[in-house]
Parts: sequence; C-alpha cells; structure tokens
Amino acid sequence: MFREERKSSRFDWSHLGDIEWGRPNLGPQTTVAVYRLMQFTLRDAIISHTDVATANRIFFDAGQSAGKAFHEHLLRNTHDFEGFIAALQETLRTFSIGILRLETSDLLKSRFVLTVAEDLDCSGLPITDESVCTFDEGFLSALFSAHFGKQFTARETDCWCTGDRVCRFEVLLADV
Amino acid sequence: MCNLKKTGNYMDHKDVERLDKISAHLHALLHNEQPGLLNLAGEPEDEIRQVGEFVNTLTDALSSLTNAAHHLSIGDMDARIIAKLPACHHLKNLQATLRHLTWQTGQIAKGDFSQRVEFLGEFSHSFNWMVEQLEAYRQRILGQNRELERLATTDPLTGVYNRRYFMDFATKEFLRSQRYSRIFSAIQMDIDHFKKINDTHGHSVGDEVLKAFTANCLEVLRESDVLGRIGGEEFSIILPETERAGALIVAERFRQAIADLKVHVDEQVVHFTVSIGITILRQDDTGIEAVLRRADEALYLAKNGGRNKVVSA
Repeated sequence: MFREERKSSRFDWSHLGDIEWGRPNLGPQTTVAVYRLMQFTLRDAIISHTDVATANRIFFDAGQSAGKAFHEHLLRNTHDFEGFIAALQETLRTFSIGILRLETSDLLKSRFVLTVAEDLDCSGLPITDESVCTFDEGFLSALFSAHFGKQFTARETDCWCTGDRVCRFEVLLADV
Repeated sequence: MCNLKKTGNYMDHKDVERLDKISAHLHALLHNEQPGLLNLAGEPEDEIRQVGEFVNTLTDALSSLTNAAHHLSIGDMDARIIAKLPACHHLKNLQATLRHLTWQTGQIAKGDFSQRVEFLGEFSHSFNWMVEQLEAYRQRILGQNRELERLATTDPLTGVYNRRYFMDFATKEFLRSQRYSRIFSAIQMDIDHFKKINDTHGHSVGDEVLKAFTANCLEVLRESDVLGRIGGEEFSIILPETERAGALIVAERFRQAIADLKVHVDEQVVHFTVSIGITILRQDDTGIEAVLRRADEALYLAKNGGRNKVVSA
C-alpha cells in the first residue's frame, strides 16, 4: 500500500486510516506548525535530493491527488458553480485550511480569480519574494476539474511570501 | 551647521551640502510633494551615500503607497501595489477585500442572497443586514406574486380555475393533442334548477351548493384533469389522454355522487342534480371552441332529456 513502486498515483482515502479508532485520547486535531514542519522539511529534502522544479512538480501532483480526494469525500455535492464555491468556502473554513474568496468568475471564458487568506501553507512565513503554494495550485486545479468535469489548472499569482496578505490564484481551463 | 563625525573625520563643507540635499528631499516628502529620486551619481561610497540610497528606497515605496492609496480611493482595484512597506500589505489586504466585495455584489445582483461580508467591522454588519432585507423583500414579492397569480386564475368562491385560465389550458391542450396526435375529452356540466335553489334557500345556500359540487368533482379528478367554473352554475373539465369510455365513467360517477349528495346549511338540507355533456377531440375540429360547442350541445340534450343525465356527442 505505502511502499509499492508506482508510476502514477495510487492514493486512496483509506490510506488516512481510522483516526477516531487510532487516536482515542489525542483525537483528530494537530497544530498548523506541525503540518508545516512536515510540509517544509519534505520540500527541503526533495530539493536536496533533486531540484526545485522537481520539488514543485511533486507538490503540485500531491495537491492534485489531495484535491480530488477532498472533492470526493469532504465537499458537499452541488451542481451549480455558486453552490460549489459556497461549499468549498464552508469546508475550507471548517477544516481551518483558509478563507476562500472569489474576485472574478467568468463562466463563459472559464477563468476564475480567487484568494485564500490565512492559508494553512504560507500565511505568516518569511517574505522571500517566492510564491510557495504549489501544493495549493494542484489542490485547486483538481477541485475545479472535478466540479466542471474538465481539466483546469491553477496558478498562484500572489503569495504571502511575495509580500501579499492573501494568496491569489488564477484558475483557467487547461490547454490539453 | 552640521557637526557629524564621518569615519573619524569631521565633515567637510561638501558633506554638509550633501546632507542638506537629503534633508531638503525629506522635507519635501513630508510636505506632500513628490520630489523624485535623489541623484547620487558620482557620490562617494560612504555613509551619506548609503543614507541617500535608503531615502531613495523610501521615496519609491512612499510613491508606490501614495499611488496605491489614490487608486483604491477612486475604486480602481487593479492597480499593482509593489512596495514592501507594512502599510502596503494592509492596502493589499483591503484591495483583496474590495475585489471580493465587488464579486459578491455582482452575485447578489444575480440573485444569490447567500453572500455575506466578513472582516469589515460595522460595514459587514450593515451590508449583511441589507442583503437579509433584500432577500426578505424578494420572498415577500414572490409570495405576493403567487397570491396574485392565484387570484387571477381561480374562482374566489369555489377555488377552482376561472374561465380565463380554463380556456388558456383547454387551448393549449387542443394544440398539444393535435400536434402529437393525442386525445382528450371535454365535459360540460350544469347544476339542475340552480336558480330555484337560490330563490328557495337564498344565495348563501346556493354558494354552499357550488362549493360542495366542486369539492365532490375534485375528489374524483386526477391531478392532470382541469376543472373550471365557466359561468354561474356551469363548469367544464378537460381530461387529457382520456378516451370517450373513460370520460363516460368519470361523468357518470360525478352524476351519481351529486345525486347522492346532501348539503347541510344551517337547518336546511339541499338535494340537487347535475346534467352533463361529454365529447372527445375529433380530427376535423378546427379549434377548442368546436370541441366545447359539441360538449355544450350534448349538455343541452341531457337537459332536454329530463336532466340528471349524461349525454355523449
């Protein structure tokens, strides 16, 4: 399950295990610092062993798997776009992942601009002039793709680490 | 004028002039002027030049901040805020909030009243209250529209459809049945000696008779059937997808139910009967009027044949 060689994702929701059963005393919660400890040490190790571009690709792909599973298991099923955004806002808030807000939604051109404030990955990080939310890019790409049934891609245009107070993403129909 | 120590030496006249230039520049910045950047070309690489460079960075940042604040103040939310000053971060936050607010306002205009504003203090409270009120007004108007539509399409006494709605429905059913080669039946009904009921028992009893009559009809009809009050004691029914045999069964059931009916009003018990004419759509019918006219002729025969009868034409 976890140590088999593979060429494409084999992630399954069951890989998360039965948390309630496994942590009867500590429960399902941990802290943002612990999440970031995992995220940034992993990034550090991947860059050390490979390079930045590979690390970004890995985080993007992992974000995509997470987004797909998140859409399938945690998001309220809605058919209209407004319902999808409302459900996404609510769920991201419920899990303390971030505060999602839309700035542009052009359904005809399939172009969306959205921001995530108090982002789990980056809010409060040192300002380094680098955008770091590649996991979020993959995550949002998968969410929009799952909702519309077409391949979308998300690109981060502003990030806490570039000196902005929100992470801004442009989501577009992917060139396939 | 200046008595600063510079790398171990007292400042010479040239350094004082350089500091005066920086001082004048800062003065201009503080007094709402836009002095541009200090020209540091040819200056020696010393602490004064470093101060000048810091002042130029600050001038740049302040210019960007002023520009961003100006654009935000006139509602232009697309201006790029480049400077890295903490104040710029707050402006970027405000810019993001305003952009989202703009999107939310558009959503509300499209009828999405679930939008709520957060993180804008008293404005959030007022804005959200406005949206709640708009939604409440919308619900009230929708309710009033439904009520107006009900009033415009139904008979206030019996609650069944009025003549106008019935004729609209019947016309549509005629066109639909013709186009798709379907069938329907039409029934015309008239309460026998209704004038006598009114004259003998009074109009309020007559009204109760009409209500009891329609209530009994509605119990027998399917949801797809449409009953309308065409005149005082005249009623019509369209039975979609119903052949003559089916319509005859329905009509006979009505007739019998009404003949068995006893309407109790105060101390009085009223018996009455109904005459019924039925017909079905024919290929050569040119309009709904032709169908209803034939049903009327059948009704006339039922009346002339002694009333309390069903006649098919």
